[in-house]
Amino acid sequence: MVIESDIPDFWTFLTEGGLRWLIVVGIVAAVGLLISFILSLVNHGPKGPGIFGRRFLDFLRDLGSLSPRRTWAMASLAFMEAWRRRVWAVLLVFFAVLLFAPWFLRPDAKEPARLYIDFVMFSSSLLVLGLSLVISAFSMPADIANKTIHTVVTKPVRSPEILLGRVLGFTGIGTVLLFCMGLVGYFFVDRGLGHGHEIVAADLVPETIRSQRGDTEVLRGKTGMTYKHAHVATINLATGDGETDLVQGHRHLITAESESIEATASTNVQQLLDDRGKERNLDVLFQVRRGEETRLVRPPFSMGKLATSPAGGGGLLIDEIDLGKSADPRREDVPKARDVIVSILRRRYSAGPPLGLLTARVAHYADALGFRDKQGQMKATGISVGYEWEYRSYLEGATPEAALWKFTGLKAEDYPRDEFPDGLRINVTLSVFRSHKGEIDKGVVANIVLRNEKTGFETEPIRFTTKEFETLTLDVPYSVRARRGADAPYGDAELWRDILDGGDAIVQLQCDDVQQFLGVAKRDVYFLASEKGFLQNFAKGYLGIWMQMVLIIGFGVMFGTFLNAFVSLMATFCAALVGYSAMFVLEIATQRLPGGGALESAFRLLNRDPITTPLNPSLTAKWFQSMDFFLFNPVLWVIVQALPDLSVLGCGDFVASGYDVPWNMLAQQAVRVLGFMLPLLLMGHYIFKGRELAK
Amino acid sequence: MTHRSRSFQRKVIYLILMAALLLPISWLGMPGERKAKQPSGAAGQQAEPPLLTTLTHQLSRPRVLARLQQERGFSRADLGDIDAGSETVKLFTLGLHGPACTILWERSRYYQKVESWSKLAATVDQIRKLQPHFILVWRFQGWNLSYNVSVEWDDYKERYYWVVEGIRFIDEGQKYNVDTRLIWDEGWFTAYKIGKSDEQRQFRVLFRDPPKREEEDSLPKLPHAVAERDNWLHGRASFVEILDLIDAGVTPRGQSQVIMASEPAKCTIRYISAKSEEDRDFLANSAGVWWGDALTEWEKVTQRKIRSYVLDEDVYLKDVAKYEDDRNQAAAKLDALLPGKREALLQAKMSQIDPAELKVWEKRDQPNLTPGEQQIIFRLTPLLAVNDADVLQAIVAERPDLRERADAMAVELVRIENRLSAVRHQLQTINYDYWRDRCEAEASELGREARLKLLAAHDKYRQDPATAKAPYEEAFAVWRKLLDKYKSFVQDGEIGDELIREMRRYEVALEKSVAPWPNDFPLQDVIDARKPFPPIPKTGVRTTIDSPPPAIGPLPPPRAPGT
Repeated sequence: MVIESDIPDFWTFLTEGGLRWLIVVGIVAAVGLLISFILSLVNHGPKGPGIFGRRFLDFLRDLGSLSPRRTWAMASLAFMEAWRRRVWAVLLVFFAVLLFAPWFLRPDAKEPARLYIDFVMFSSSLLVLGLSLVISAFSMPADIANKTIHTVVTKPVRSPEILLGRVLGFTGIGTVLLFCMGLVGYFFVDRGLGHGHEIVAADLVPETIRSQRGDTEVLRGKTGMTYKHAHVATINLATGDGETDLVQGHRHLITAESESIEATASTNVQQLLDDRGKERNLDVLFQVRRGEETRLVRPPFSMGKLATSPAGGGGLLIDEIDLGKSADPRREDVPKARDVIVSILRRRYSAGPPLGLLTARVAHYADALGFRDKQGQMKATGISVGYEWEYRSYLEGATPEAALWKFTGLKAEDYPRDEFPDGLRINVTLSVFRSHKGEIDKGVVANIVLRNEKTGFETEPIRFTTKEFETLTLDVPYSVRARRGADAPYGDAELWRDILDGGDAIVQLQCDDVQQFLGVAKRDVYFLASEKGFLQNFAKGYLGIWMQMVLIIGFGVMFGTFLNAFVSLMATFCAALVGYSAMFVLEIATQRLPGGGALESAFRLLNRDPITTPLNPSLTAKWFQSMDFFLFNPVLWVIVQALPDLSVLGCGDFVASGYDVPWNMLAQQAVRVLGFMLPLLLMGHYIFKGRELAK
Repeated sequence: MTHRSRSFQRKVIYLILMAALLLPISWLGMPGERKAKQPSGAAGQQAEPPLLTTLTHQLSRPRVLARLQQERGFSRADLGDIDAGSETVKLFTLGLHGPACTILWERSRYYQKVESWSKLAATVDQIRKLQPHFILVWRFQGWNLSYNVSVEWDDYKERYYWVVEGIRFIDEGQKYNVDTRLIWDEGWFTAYKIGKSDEQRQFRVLFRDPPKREEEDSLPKLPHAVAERDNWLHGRASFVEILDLIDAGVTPRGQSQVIMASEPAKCTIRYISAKSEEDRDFLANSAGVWWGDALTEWEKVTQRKIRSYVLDEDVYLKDVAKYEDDRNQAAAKLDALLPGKREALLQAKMSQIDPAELKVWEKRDQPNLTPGEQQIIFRLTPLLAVNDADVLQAIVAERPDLRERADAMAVELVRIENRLSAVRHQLQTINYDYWRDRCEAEASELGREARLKLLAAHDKYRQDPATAKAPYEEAFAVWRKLLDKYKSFVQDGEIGDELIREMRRYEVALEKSVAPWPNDFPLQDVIDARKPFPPIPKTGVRTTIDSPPPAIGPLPPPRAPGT
């Protein structure tokens, strides 16, 4: 997953961000009060300061006497008001969108999970945020226009309670809607991506897997195609269970439903064998007695003649058998003449639902990434191979160049051995840049070394073949070959004791192929801890939407205190728009984008001037550029600084990419929302207090 | 019951009816391109979703409108198909169709930049739904997927996946638009992207690898039957489809008609070349027959009616001989007005040329000219050309009484000349003579012998380079005969590349046999033809026949045996 900006530690965020927040809020408050004071002076003359002072004292007193009971009552009122306006119709729209979604979504896409999750979360956020925008912006101005606000303000209720109540009420209704959408969306994603694969018994070929634990007879073959992909299934011949390989980020477990038929003189073996053609997932095996031994054999599909006769001790003796051309008669797992068939096993294979498609991987990312150049010097970036997107830096193969990720805080308890029996799991996603064709049918080779600066231990290089745009999994065994120092010989070492001592490690990556390049970014290599449930992660994704909703409601209610309905709607909409494109607006304001500022861009559009060439130095062009420099850019800059960056509140990309949303990130987002909501409510309260109807 | 509550009831009923109508609309309009494949047997049972999605998936199966549209051929209407999905998306934009397209195009560019391929594919899909009848969407994005996105991947299988995605995309576009440009692109991507990429060997293997079941085939269905599953033959089928459409009256767009007409035969030729490299049996037993068929197909190109946009009329390339004859007759008639004038004009021009250069120019039809001589001939040819206009001018100047007849002849000559020039231009565009000779040569017994002998030598070389000297010399001798018969092959890059590759191996074989490079190497002209051409002289600098030949390096060092 691409993460272009770092997620800081929570306390760092709180201390650094908190200080900045205090300064900005202080400045805004001071400027606001100053404006208010000046307006009082202008409107009331010498009485102005007194009126301003009383108003400010009232403002403080109202804040001090906030009643949770009254606030709750106002919130209930807002909730009911919204409900009566039939906001639940948004749910119907959402269901209709999901109903038609299969028209447009392709479960056979390269990353179907990302597509489905993105779609569901985008639809939910669009509808809920749109609704929040409308109800929050229209509520107060509509009440004022209809004079229904008088029924409220004439009651013993204070203005901050009215505002807070509305925010809570609208948040409540949004939460209910979002919850319903999340629930339905979850089932939509889960079921929409659910698929099986046909296991065609005729396509399975017997194989022997040799390992230290002994030989295992298996059946291996390609599964049927579903959603434009197929897997290779490996099934244990003895048990009928198995699993597929990993394709498009998921695998399937294979189970077999078996039925045993005793072989007697009346058993029509040929008929049972012929049945295999009628059901494609049906396989037939013989339990045979061969000498003293009883074993399971599989008559090949290519089998020709089979002649049996009743055997002495029960069962059927194979008198004659023609295995056909494609079968290997030397294999032990095929029936042979003189075998006695004891029973016949009818097996129907089936592949289960996809595993790993909807997941929440917990990644332990590095604290820092550095590069070593050919001279052995450390640098912040590697080589640029000329790509427009500079997310990744490159290192040249077969040179001392290396990328080094520095990890800290690795804890053995986060990587339970029962979950990772083969070793500590490192996930690697790399970009490959070839400066020559090389061997087209082979991937570029790279190696990884784990090193501990304190103990001086480093593991033997773990070589692997890269696969671009795919996350590769490397297991570093708990008992590894490692050395202490560059010239020392490799010996046995313990991973946690010697290499990861103190929870620190450096992961070094090098490319082995001459004149080929590997591209890496800070988040491309990470340790994989235990996975978490997808449902929980999905809920975290919706929590991100919820926080965006709260902020929009805050803006809507605040603007509603002094603007009429449509202006309030437009103001909230613009705040949200700037919030979602904060980075873009900031780039315009600081002239980092080609084409100049807002006015200059408009001028270029009218004149059809390309954005990359300098403008002709005409008087008009100069005027536009000056206006941008002295007026528009500073105004845009202030707006961006004052409004929340809503794009950082979403965590849908984590959910869609199958990564656990860090609680740290959610906590920071919550603080951010709180940091904006507080001044918004205070501002709204102060403005509302100034209006005659709230006095 | 109050009026207010009755009104409310009516609204509720209308809403329920509207909601109920959504279901049959969704069912009827489900697009045909997406197969809601469900695994049969027990494998599928585990994946059966029970809720809302189950309903939509179940309902999606029949795809009534899509099926009817295919059965009745609605999608082949001139305006193309109306896709319910596409119309719905357009409706959802609430009139902001233009901005939505702009945003999506920008997003697609962004996703490509940040290498987010699945999002790119999804965005492209949305663009095509918003602009299904905008041909450039299909052409641009199809090309983008097949050519630009595919090369971003390191694994050739992934590259192949994206190449086929692009082909499928273009094929999809043909359901909504009848436009020869899309068919051309499909043919071109299938034939040339797969058959001429760096990964051509791997791509062709993947292409030829048939799926176990027909429904698993990722390739688009072909309009014409093909002899076998091969990218060149599949590409050919698309090009033939274009010719069928032209014959049916559809106005071809995109390429010139002569290129469209020549591509099926070119694909056949490419198929034979590729297949001959991959399959020894094919080369030994079938290639000759295939080359013969390719020759016939190539010659048929000249029998097709081709639109000449210069003349604004249809022409037949086979008529080139007739036009040349007409032109010669008309020129003879012109010369007959004032006999000997053309020769006199030539002599006058020749008198102004340096005699040494003139001697070179007189050798212009001879083979083995030095580069310096070739340059002189190249420069003098236009200077010494006596064209009909010169003759006419001279006639009118000398015999004003013949002016009227001469003018009539001039008009006729210009007409014939234009026609001849147009036809010749078309023939040159497709390099007609070369490919005709190539097919003829490869189909001939001599050509077959040359190929087989070279193959035998190559096989010997792979076994043991030391034993390959004699077979190579035998093969080169046959090639000499072939090149003597078809002189244009000496300069040909394709044949030249092939022969030079084998010459390098021959060089290794000589080294292994401790034998020197023969002084009378029979294919020296092929090596010479591949030497760099001398630099073009600056204007005003006269090149003489005494200019030293350009410095030519030896053959590049031989590669290791087996390469």
